[in-house]
Amino acid sequence: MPERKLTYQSLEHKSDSGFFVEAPSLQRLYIDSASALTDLMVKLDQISDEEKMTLSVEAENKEQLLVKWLNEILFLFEKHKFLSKRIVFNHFDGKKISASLFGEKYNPIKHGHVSEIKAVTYHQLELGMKSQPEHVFYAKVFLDL
Amino acid sequence: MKLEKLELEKFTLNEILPGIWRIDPQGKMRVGVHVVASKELILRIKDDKSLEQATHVTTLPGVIDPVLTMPDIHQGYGFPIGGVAAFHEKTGVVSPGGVGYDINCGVRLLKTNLTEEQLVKYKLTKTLVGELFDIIPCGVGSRRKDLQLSLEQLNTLLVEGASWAINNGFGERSELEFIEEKGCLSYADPNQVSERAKERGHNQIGTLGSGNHFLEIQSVDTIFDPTVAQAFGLEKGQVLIMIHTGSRGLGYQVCSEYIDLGLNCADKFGIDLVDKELAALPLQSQEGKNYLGAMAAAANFAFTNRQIISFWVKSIFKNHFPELKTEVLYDICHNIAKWEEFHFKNNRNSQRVCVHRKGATRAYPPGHPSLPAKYQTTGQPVIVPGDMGRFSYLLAGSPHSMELSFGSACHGAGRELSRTQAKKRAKGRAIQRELEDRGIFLKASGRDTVVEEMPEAYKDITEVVESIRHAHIASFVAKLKPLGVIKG
Repeated sequence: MPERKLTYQSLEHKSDSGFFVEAPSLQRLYIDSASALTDLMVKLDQISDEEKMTLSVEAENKEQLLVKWLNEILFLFEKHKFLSKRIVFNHFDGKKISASLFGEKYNPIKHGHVSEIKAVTYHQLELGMKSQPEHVFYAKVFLDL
Repeated sequence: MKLEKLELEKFTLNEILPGIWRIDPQGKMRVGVHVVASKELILRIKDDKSLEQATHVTTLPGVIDPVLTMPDIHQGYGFPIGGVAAFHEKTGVVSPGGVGYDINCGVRLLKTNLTEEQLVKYKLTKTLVGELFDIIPCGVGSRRKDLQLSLEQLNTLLVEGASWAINNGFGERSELEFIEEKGCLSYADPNQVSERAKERGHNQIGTLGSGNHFLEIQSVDTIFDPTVAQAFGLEKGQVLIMIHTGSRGLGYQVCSEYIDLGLNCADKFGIDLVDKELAALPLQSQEGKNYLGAMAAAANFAFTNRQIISFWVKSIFKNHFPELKTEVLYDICHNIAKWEEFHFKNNRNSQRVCVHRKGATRAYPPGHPSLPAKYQTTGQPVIVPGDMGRFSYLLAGSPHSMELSFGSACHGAGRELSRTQAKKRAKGRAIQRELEDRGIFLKASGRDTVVEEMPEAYKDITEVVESIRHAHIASFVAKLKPLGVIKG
């Protein structure tokens, strides 16, 4: 089966930036948000998926889970230089994620320059579902650069 | 002088003192907002959310009248960038988002005994820029392989701040006097900094980072106040070095984790948050104390970072100029919450309050006991970096800065264009070349940074500092021009 193509929009902010993602399920929304975040650093199609890392995140609610999850993606990059291409959830219940991430280590020669993202914020964070014309989950996330 | 009134769509601003405009409390606001800016600057930010964000800050418990905005104000997260807010010791709160992700992002200005003429004569600026770029790690996730700290060393560093660097051979003890709080917040508690934050930060000490962080070789272009300039040890044409960086990944992680804690505790402490990024913890709560301990530790990391970088800068310059002498002119914080003492009306004794400066700097007046003897008559040096193509300013805190702005001034030029707008504006242009044509050598780790940080992306610094002078918060000492720039 061909892989579903990630689509997201970059958002404007005076000193920072963000993204807006839509996905067919809540689970997919978290995965696509992580992919959008990665894509803002290094284009996904430049990342191979030869290495695997695992990640577990818990939070009090869906919004916090999204922010914490994305901050963990940033942590993996800063600590291990790890960029994820493909993500599989082993467990997801809206308050907890445990995931396997497939990707590779950042290589400046291969991946080029990366603009630093300091943190994922709660600023105007939106996470919701539209039921018309069909079920669509969406998230709006701003980043501190 | 006639004071004016400005009717904006959401707010009425009454000019109460020259260049200081008051928004009276309304709705959920507990206190007023004082906007320090010229009318023209206010009209330019009226369409973004920065003033609204300042009014949001006034809804937090224990906030002291007024919350202030500086003339470089622009929209941030929770607090506006360029915001100052003080909170009562007993009833107030500390807001991790109000301090920001880059805790103690700040600026250090180093003086040298070199002149611009010497650099030009030996055509050395470009060489120095290249060498600085090679030696000082910058860009994303930059780290220095020869300075890897053990956990124990990191914990000591987080407690000691800049003096840790001195103890380990990075600089002179006499430099500490010229750093805000002598380079160490005494209430730092490394136990409140998570393992994750330490993991992120332990190999980033001595690194510049990316984004708006920079290192500049500058020269004194204009002296406005010869007496104060002399006290600061400045002469026209003198070469200076400006370093702008903060607490790197360690600070970002501390901020993220404590915002989460603030959100989880909001109900427990009965704090009604109009914006989640304002998440706050009561100063008297254990959680609030823990955050202050962690924040102070991150601030100490940043002081140490600037101390170590300035040591490396000196060693590079010394290769070319063995007779080089450098001194720290001053080192100030931009993103911080600190215990400071202020006198309030109808109260003879000073009061200890928690001042948040988010994208703002301290600007203490002459005679303030925390200033070094050298600056007792001049007031604190206030370093205001501009964009990389125009000027930076050096000001001195004015006698009334304590009453006017909790001893605070602006921290920079403030963005005019978003990053995307800057990219559009730069399309088809070679920004680096344009700068070089004007005699400014730039080396950056990526083209994106150059474009996003291009001069036009920022407000004209002169307009910004003029507003500070007009409001009698700080006076002009000198204007500094860039010769060489390193960007992450």
